[in-house]
Amino acid sequence: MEKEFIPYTLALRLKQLGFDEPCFAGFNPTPFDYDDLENLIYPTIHLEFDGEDIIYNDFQTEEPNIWTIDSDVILAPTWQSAFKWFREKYNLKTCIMFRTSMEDDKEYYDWLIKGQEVVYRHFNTPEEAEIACLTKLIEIVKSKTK
Amino acid sequence: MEKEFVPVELALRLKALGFDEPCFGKFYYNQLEIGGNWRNNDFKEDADVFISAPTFSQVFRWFREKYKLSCSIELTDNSRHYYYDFTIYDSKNRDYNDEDCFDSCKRIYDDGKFGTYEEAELECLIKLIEIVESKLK
Repeated sequence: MEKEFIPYTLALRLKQLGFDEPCFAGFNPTPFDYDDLENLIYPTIHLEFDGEDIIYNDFQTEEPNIWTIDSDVILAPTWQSAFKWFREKYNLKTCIMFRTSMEDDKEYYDWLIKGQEVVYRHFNTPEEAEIACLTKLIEIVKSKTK
Repeated sequence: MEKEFVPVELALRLKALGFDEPCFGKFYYNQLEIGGNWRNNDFKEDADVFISAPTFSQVFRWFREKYKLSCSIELTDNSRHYYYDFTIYDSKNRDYNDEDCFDSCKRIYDDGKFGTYEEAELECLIKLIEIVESKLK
């Protein structure tokens, strides 16, 4: 299920842009004792904002808990929720397209942002295209809000 | 967050197609319950009332990886028109006669025009399911 989430570095940049939509999971910069992954995902936890706090329900214990928002937890948006956020908040609409090469039939992915003339070409996987596209969206919004 | 999940009737059709990826939610008597880590095969004893609840992006990935069917949802926005539509790409096959395109990718077009991204996404998913259902018949 980890594939559903945007990478930690992009989640952090989205948080800095003010992303505060409900998420299924979060990244913890401090590893839990049972896992030595640098940034652990909690796929069994459902996170929601309530004012200034993050409420999370641990499905396994069914106990609601609260993290304060100034904790180090970084919400982990899904790809779908991240792109939706840019679409609805900043009117930045994107499209990722499957393509094949005329020369050798090689498969690749293009992406574009509506309203911008440039089409970004030749990513080997849709995931690479998504990362590049989301990075560009963040850069656009960051430059607008400077 | 509920909007991230596919509707229950499509989740049921996906289950019939063999979708068995871990999901963040489930449908219990057609009601969405968010939380947990569920697969359709977890519910063998209660298969009638439980269906795992995938997100849209999860299902689109599943079609891409399992059936080589990709899709794009595009916006037409000019002085005359504003609508979303979608195209499905069959990456297993090639089409060298599509004069509208500059590559050999086989496209499955749809005539629908949709007012929102979500409407186009939903119709695209229905079309994907129909394509695979017809292949499996």
